[in-house]
Amino acid sequence: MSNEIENLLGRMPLRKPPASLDDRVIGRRRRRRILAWSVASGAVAAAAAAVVVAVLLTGNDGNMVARSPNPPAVSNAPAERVAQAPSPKPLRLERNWAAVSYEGVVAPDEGAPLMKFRRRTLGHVQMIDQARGRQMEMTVPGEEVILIKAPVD
Amino acid sequence: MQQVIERIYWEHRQGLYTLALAITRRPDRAEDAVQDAFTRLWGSKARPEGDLVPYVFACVRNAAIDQMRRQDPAITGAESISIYNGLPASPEDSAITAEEHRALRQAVDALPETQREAVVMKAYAGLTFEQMAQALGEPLQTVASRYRRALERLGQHMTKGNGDVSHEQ
Repeated sequence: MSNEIENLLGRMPLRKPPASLDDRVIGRRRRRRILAWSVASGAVAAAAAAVVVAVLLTGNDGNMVARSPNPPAVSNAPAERVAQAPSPKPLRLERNWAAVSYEGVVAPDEGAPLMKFRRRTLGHVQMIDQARGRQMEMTVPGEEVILIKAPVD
Repeated sequence: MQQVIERIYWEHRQGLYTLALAITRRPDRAEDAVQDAFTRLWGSKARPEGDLVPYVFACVRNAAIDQMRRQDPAITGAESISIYNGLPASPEDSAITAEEHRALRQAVDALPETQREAVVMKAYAGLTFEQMAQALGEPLQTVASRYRRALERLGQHMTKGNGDVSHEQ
């Protein structure tokens, strides 16, 4: 009898979760992560720009190290090695672009209509090692589709 | 951990929503409960070990109970909604008649809340008794016997002229 009841229960059509629930649970989290990522990227880019400005203002004669808030540790190395000007640290420049385009309204099988947006991103990272005279660049494209519940009049 | 929780959402969204709906009896409250639960999960610093499925179900259940505490009791009964969509079973499924369908739906909706939760978690969310026990914070035997009692109750309801299933298979 219990098996028969379980079989019957399994055939009963349940009320489906609306599509808007996915947006509320997953979509918002992803948008929040993108926002955090954008803020973090912006902060990194601003920090990198500040470093570049500092390098340009101080020149590349090693004086910047002397003005650094973190003085180099005392070394037991021979005097002639200590006298050498320390090499500037490699620089990392990071820039990010993003563009959002609206692609109309989609109607899922169930639930409210959703507005579809496509967000394209482009991240550009540049590393410059002045001491070795080397430079590296990397471009990372990204794309995502964002669905937002359409307002109903 | 967040990727695991997202995977659990996609795998169990029907069961989680049905559990929330079984408790709140209102679709909008059920949605709010699931969203509240996952908002807390995304922001949580806790790192529970082992199977996270019962943990997520427990969060949704707690959020649904919170929704119930917040909602106005005056409108609870008036807007009470079944976990079933009210449609008959699929046309090709001739084993279940419209009368049986209606009777079983009424019987499930009339179960005590704890038994209805047990039916939803076992029959619809597909949890094991061990997972149910973890989610509910109760001994495994208690949860298993509660589920059996719920099935017995549904069986009694169906054989009392509300939809005899004795001819099934």
